[in-house]
Amino acid sequence: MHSPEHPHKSDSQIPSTAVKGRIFDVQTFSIHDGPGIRTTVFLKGCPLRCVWCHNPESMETEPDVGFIPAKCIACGQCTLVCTHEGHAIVDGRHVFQRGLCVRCGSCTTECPTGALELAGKEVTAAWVMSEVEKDRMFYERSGGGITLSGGEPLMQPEFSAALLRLARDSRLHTAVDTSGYAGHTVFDRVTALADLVLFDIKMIDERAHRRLTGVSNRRILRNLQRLLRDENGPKVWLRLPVIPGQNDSPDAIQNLIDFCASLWGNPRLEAIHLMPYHRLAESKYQEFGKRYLINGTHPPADEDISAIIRRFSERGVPVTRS
Amino acid sequence: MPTLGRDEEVIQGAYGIDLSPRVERLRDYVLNDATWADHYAPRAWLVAESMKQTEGQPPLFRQAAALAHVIRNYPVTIREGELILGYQQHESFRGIGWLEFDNLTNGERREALRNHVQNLSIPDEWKQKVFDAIDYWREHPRVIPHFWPQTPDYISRDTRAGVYFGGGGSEGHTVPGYERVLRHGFHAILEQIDGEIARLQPWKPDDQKRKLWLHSVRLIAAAACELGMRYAEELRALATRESDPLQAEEYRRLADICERVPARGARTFHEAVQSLWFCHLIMGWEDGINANSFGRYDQYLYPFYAADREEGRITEDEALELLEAFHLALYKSYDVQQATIGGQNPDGTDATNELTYLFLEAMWRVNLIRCLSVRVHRGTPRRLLESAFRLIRRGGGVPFFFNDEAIVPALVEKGIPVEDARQYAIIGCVEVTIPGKTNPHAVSHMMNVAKCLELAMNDGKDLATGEQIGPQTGTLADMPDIEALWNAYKLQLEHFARHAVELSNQGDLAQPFRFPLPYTSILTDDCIARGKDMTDGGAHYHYHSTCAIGLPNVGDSLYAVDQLVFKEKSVSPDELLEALKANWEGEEREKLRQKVIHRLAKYGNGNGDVDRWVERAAHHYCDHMATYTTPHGGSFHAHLFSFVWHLDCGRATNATPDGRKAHDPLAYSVSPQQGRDVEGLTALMRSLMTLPHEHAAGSSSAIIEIAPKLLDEVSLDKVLDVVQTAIDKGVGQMQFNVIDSATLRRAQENPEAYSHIAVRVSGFSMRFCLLDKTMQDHIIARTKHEEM
Repeated sequence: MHSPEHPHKSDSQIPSTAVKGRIFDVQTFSIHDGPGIRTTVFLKGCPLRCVWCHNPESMETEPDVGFIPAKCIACGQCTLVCTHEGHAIVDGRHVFQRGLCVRCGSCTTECPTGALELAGKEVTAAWVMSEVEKDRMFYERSGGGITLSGGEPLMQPEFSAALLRLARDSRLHTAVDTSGYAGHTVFDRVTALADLVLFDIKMIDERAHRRLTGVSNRRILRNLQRLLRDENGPKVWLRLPVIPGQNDSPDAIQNLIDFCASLWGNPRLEAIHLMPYHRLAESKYQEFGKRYLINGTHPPADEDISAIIRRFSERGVPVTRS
Repeated sequence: MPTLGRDEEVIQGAYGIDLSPRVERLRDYVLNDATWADHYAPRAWLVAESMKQTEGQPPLFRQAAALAHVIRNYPVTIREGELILGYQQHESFRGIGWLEFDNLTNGERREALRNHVQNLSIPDEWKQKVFDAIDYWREHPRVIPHFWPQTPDYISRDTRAGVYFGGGGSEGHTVPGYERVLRHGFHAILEQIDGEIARLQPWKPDDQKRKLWLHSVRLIAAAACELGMRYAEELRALATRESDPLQAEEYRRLADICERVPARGARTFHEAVQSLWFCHLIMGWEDGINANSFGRYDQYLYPFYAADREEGRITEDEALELLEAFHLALYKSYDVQQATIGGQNPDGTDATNELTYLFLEAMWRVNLIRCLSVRVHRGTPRRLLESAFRLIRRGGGVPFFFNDEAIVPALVEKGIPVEDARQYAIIGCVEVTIPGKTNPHAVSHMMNVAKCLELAMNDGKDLATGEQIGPQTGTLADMPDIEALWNAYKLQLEHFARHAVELSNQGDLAQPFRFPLPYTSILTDDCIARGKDMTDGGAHYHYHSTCAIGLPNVGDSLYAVDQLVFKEKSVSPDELLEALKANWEGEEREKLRQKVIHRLAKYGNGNGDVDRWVERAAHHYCDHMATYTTPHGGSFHAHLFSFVWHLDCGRATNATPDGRKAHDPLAYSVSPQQGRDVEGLTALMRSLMTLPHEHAAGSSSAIIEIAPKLLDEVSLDKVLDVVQTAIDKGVGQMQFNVIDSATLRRAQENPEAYSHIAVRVSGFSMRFCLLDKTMQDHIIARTKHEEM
């Protein structure tokens, strides 16, 4: 692995502060994305297409235009600025023809109510850090810091590396929330700059993984092995989403338990969290004009989650609910 | 785990704590006794009886004699199982217990009162006595003098317009020096009074005045010495009649206690708590049950507790049961008899002790929401915060947190020595006093600063009616930059501040004639030594608290005007004024309002550019009010607190440039305008940290709404980290309201006002998340579940 002292060649071309990347949110007081109180930076773009994805606005690299009808007062301001006639007021109601949209975002800067909003903007690492720095006093009190999430941070390795380096320079705890899906050079280079990696394991069965996320998990599992082998590498928290009807069949859970049991005891591996499905993302699918393939799925019952936790525990693997 | 907040649910008994059979029974007395609320009637006739006997005497003497008569004759009620004896009358100030303030020359009012009394479940004999009292006051109406023949026209006009209001009085809002009675008894106070009387040189005019006062208050101290004895006699009688030897023994034990206190100093924890309760009963008879508060009871009761524990006289469980009984004796359907725990010692070290935790535990177990405040500072143990949050989690908003790091320096700035400042305690809702030394004139007047800004934009004229209310300081159209508007705002506010201070000082000067407080005075330094009532300059510290209402709206509005009119120049001053006059009605104006709400930064999101305006307005308020003097040489302590008056002030205020519509509520205290803080808890705290809490000696106040999920095991730790950071950074006062399903229902009806209700899920971005109806229903159901 590369150590931070030996930066990758491309790193030295421009200063970290000036590296640009695409994000769709900087969220303060994030309390489930690593130790302490954290600010989570959500990076845009992801190579996976998990059917349960709870940040649908994160998937594509390009900006996404979100539209929230409940906030719209049909004032027509958007119709005045759209160059592609994507917006119209018909019978006093606003109609957004997404097919015509070129995602330029001019309607979103003009919309007075916030009914139209753009997910995805290009920013410099310096700008992100200035946002992150605002909550420093809370990180210091709680042992928190910065978490890169997304999207997939590894899809913007220069940017992620720049952010992590700047954060480290200013003595912040750093975490990367990743699917683990990346080429190993990129994977090593970014994760080596983190104090903690939040590593998602969605399915063990490769075919099912491909079906539900659009990609094979071979790379993912291989990257995880690499990470856990590195004595000087970051700490690792495994995060296991539990999506009813998708990846929670008895076999799938058994495979997960077997897999985790084989890893538990590794000094790098600090914790394993279950992440039960929630429905908060539903509205975001509508806003961004995306189809929610698992609409109508109910969150797992508390008893079901407890049962899974018990099964892990019987194998000597302590698992907590996130 | 019980997570109840509202009384009706408590009454249903939905709690799972194993209270002792005795405490269960006391709890039933409080919640299910239909007659307990009627026991205030005796004060009404006892005062009238005494007044009949003192016709022609000086008013102060008559008032003191009446209170002494109440103390000597108030019926003794003892119920089996009671550990703390003495019934606290229910009705608050100016109910039937306070007939002397009622308008009984009015036939309709008399009739209404008679009907009310007729329906009470009290003996017919009592009813007749109350009727007689009503007749007495009809024939001898009490003249309530004001300092001036009438309120000046300008003050009437300003208050009608809702710019400021208040009265400068101080009844019902004090923390007397109970500690002295606990330690030495009322006999010691009587002796001190007699000592002063003996030293009088009545040929000196001042001593003539002192003589009248000392002889008057002496009546009260002497009567107070006998109060316990009356209970002791009744208890001994009960013991003689009692067939159960254990119960008889308990009566005798309680009789021993009442024989001792409050006449003499308490020797045990039980005696101290009983003594405190007797002191408080008299307090209620003097000026009602409103915000008469206990002060730092974990501090002054601690030596008694520690000694009992040391000597093996009491177990922790017994002490807890006693505190539960005390807590139940205190319970009323409404009042703000505040108590304060925790905080610093006079030397700055942490004062938390075992009783601090026991009081929290007692409140937790009894499960009735009562006012309680926890003082916090940098050295507050984490465990105390955890215990406090256990109570907060089940709803009801208590305890409140008051930060010594802000309030102590604010008091010191007002000239109070740091050792005394560190003894501060809370009165009522959010008012600060130095116990036993102060006439604090809490919430002396309220200033609607948002109205001041309205007038500043419109040449001193009301935006809706055009009435000239304030000085002519120009209209927005005349102003070249935001500093000009800021200066106009200051001129308006300072103009009205002078009037509000006039109003408060009038009330202060009238109080000794209108309603002196002789009992509170003998428990307040240096009244006895000076021979003066606390309302007449007897107290060691005198000040008034002056409430600023609408500061967040002023800050948001100044920022919005600066952005739109002066920086972007996207709106002309006239357009903005017209929009405000039209209450934002019209398509373009509504568009502008939407832009203001959604596109401009708002206070409460940790944005320095806008927070700076709230800070500036708050700072100006603190500094400016400090320039005025009260009749007894005190000053006006800025109180960044709105109680519920942000609703009244909102009704009186037209549309504001922060996007608020006319007559909508203003922001609560220094909390952001409802629904405008959307960035989460840390961002909100950063905004709060910018304010000058350390100059607001009347305290600031912030309600922070928090989802129950944030207080689960995993998240609570992080919330506590946020709270501790806020303490470090000097945020003055915080109270956490756990969002319940009812709040979420309101949020469903009015999402804009509740957009600050946020949740946090790992890896989930909330930014674009709008909870649709189904989703909200789900969360409501879930929250309800968690409330069970």
